[in-house]
Amino acid sequence: MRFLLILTCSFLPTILSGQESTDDRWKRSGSPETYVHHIELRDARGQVISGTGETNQIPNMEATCAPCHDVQRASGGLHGGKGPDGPAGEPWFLVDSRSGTRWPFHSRLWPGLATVEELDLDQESLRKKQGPFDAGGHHSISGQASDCLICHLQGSYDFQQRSQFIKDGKSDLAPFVAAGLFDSAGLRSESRFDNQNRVVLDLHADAGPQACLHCHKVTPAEESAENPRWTHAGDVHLAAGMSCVDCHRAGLDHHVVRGKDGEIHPSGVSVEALSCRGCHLPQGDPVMLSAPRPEHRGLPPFHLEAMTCTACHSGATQGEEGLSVWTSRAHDLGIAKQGRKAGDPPGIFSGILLKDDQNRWAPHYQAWPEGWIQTSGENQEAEVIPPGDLRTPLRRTLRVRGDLLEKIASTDEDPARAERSLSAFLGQMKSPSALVTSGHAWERSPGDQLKPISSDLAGPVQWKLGHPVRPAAMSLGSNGCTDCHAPETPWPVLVSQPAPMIPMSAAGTISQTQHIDPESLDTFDSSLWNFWEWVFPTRDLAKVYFTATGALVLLASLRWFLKAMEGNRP
Amino acid sequence: MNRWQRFLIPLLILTMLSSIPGIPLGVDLRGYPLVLHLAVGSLFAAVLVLFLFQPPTKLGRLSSLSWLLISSGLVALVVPMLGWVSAETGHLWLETHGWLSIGGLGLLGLSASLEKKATADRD
Ligand code: HEC
Ligand code: HEC
Ligand code: HEC
Ligand code: HEC
Ligand code: HEC
Ligand code: HEC
Ligand code: HEC
Repeated sequence: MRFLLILTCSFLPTILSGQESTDDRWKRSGSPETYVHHIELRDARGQVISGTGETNQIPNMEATCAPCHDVQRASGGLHGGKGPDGPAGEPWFLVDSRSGTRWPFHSRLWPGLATVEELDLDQESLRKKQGPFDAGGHHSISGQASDCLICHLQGSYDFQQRSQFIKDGKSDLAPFVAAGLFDSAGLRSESRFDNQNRVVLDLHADAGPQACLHCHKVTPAEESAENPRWTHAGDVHLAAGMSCVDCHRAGLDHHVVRGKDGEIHPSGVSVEALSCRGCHLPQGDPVMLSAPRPEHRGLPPFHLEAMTCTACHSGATQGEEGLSVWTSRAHDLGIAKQGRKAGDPPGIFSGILLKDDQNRWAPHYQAWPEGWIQTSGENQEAEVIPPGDLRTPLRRTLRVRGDLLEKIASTDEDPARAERSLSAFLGQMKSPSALVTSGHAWERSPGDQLKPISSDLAGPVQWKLGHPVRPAAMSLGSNGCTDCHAPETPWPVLVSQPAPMIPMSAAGTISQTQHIDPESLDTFDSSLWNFWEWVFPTRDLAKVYFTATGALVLLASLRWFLKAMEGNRP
Repeated sequence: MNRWQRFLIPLLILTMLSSIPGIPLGVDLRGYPLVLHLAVGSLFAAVLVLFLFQPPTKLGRLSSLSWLLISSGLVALVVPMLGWVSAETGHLWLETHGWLSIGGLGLLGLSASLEKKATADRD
């Protein structure tokens, strides 16, 4: 089976490689076999690091690969912070417990995100918090060089060690420690070097799913018997022996294909074949013969136009839509940590159905910003207050030195007290400010209470969900149309609703996620939807009815037609 | 005249009108027009059964052919509905359903006008 897959997958590499071959400066093995890397390590000046004897040389990734590869190009692309922004993907989250801030940000221009400048984040804090989950590159948000090994080294790569070294400000050394070439004290593992100062590295263009899953896991925040932890690794394609890179391909410039419908790839090459639709429902010749062409018998065809494939095939199983999840990048998965709780910020919800950039219904992740904003005044726009600016005022008025929420929760038995403290704090701010939480901005109101006002900054951010693709038998619709079209099904979940970070007198008790009534939204013609929900249980009856009437009228009209032909014979 | 014919023709025309948004090639009939089309169409199907089992004294060649087309159109609808074909092929069957019915209606109009002419000529 694996062999068959490899055979059929081998059509695909031609999609992106080949553009590389024009440049003769770089070595090529000319063989389809993986080249065995038996190479020297080098420091930043390009000096070979010797395997024995005294040395304080620190290895450098660029210099190590540069003799044989165009590292400049390899350090760009999607993971290097370059390439087109395209439709929104998962953002970074600033989680600052001292001020209760959980704000989504990115250097890419996606809706609803703050910029690094707005949050006043410096390189060091970015490196410490986001660094472990940044693959690095020329435009890296945390200012690190590309870690080629995390994606290309097959087998054991110690992600935890890498994180530790990055946090300690030793990004250069991190990948070499993770690969076991240096030990946790930062010294050479001499046994790895041969007497010509060379090491063997098991490098592959496709080092297998584990390499990518360091940063791309998604799992339910709350584990239970009904909610076993699923991840991208639970994807049917991986179960069938495919690897992430079979679909998320790239050339040397590392513009990794995202797989979106209608994706425009910087290389100008069509990458349509690497999207769900392009691979499974190709127009013309199939690109991958082993990809089953779905029949979707009985499904009115507009469903395939009005919805993405992922709407039925991906994400949490039915009834789990709107589930709260953890992601590697937002919740530091893979880094051992004590006291993880299901409610750990930021709250991210999966399986929320929204229209995508192609105007199709698609499952999304959804997350809500929390933190403090300066409300819009006469001549100023509303903007986020960077947590750094809140330190002093919070310490002065509320005496917060650690975790803001713990502090106000621990001070008192009276739940209204938390609200009063924050309200008092807002009163002390120099310019009019508000607390953003649960989808609203909360302003100070008389009586030291907080009252909700609407603000653009308080809205959710969302990005499309692609994985895991469930087996066909677990798709929505596999139990019939009533998986979606029935009054009792929870589908569709259109909005998640996070609880406010502290109890608010003005906020009724809002549950974590809610199945919002479609009537309150303008993206959905709810009366039509409700009508169909109501009509659907009679669908089997309708089938019988139309089959019966169809058969009867066909017989009768055929009889009359034959009779007419006979009767009119001259 | 068959007593059902009085209902039949208006229902047929209403069904036809409600399907107009779905006529362009590759476009599916959706939304309220679809609801109307299904409602009127169901009624029409019933009346058609009654009509054909108690037809007028005599159906001409042309009009009997048009009823045959319209009936086949109804059968073409049943094919994707019962899930006998894939969703993509379903498009084609729905279009066939549409064109057969429209063809039938057109022919019916033609036969009616010819019949009228014939009766006018006879007078
Ligand atoms: C001594 C030269 C040399 C050095 C140094 C070197 N490589 Fe290579 N590498 C090669 C050659 C030759 C190939 C085969 C290229 C081809 O045939 O297209 C290759 C292929 C690769 C491939 C593709 C393997 C595959 O499965 O097809 C990757 C990934 C790679 N190198 C990464 C690296 C990284 C990362 C470094 C630095 C740590 C590095 N290489 C250092 C010579 C080198
Ligand atoms: C060190 C962490 C890390 C590793 C390892 C990693 N990624 Fe990523 N990946 C990221 C980050 C961070 C982003 C977001 C980049 C951006 O938005 O600029 C990303 C984005 C992506 C996206 C785009 C997601 C979207 O929303 O469309 C894809 C696809 C992807 N990675 C695939 C891979 C594959 C395949 C591998 C393995 C070869 C891999 N990644 C390895 C961190 C990583
Ligand atoms: C985020 C993960 C990631 C990082 C970091 C990364 N690569 Fe890659 N690399 C990939 C993917 C994915 C491919 C495409 C594999 C494919 O399509 O077969 C690739 C392909 C390659 C290839 C083969 C290109 C070809 O088609 O000939 C080389 C060589 C390579 N990378 C070298 C490097 C070097 C050197 C670095 C560090 C400067 C690096 N990579 C960093 C993910 C990564
Ligand atoms: C069979 C092809 C295929 C395989 C295998 C695959 N992906 Fe994807 N992936 C896609 C497609 C297609 C999309 C885009 C879905 C969309 O937005 O319509 C996607 C989306 C993504 C996204 C962005 C959306 C999300 O759910 O977070 C990430 C990140 C990602 N893939 C990472 C991975 C990783 C990591 C692996 C391996 C563990 C992997 N993919 C394996 C096809 C694939
Ligand atoms: C309305 C829900 C729905 C949508 C939208 C949908 N599917 Fe499916 N799909 C199903 C169901 C249910 C099955 C299993 C029963 C069947 O084959 O009809 C299935 C089966 C499949 C299979 C397995 C077929 C086989 O023979 O093993 C594939 C592959 C598939 N779909 C791909 C896609 C792709 C690609 C798209 C997007 C163009 C898509 N689906 C859109 C519901 C959906
Ligand atoms: C590059 C081609 C490719 C892409 C892109 C791709 N698939 Fe597949 N898909 C396959 C292959 C190959 C198989 C068959 C795997 C096997 O052997 O079981 C498959 C199997 C499936 C199945 C059937 C699983 C079963 O139970 O039989 C479903 C459903 C499916 N894919 C949906 C999707 C969805 C949804 C996407 C987009 C996120 C997608 N595919 C993207 C190649 C692809
Ligand atoms: C995954 C959920 C899902 C499944 C399964 C599903 N549908 Fe739908 N259906 C939708 C959505 C979404 C819409 C369009 C709502 C909108 O955009 O207004 C829709 C709309 C419809 C409509 C109304 C068309 C219109 O626009 O007025 C009909 C009729 C319909 N579906 C029939 C079916 C039948 C028959 C099946 C089973 C074979 C089925 N659906 C299965 C999600 C689904």
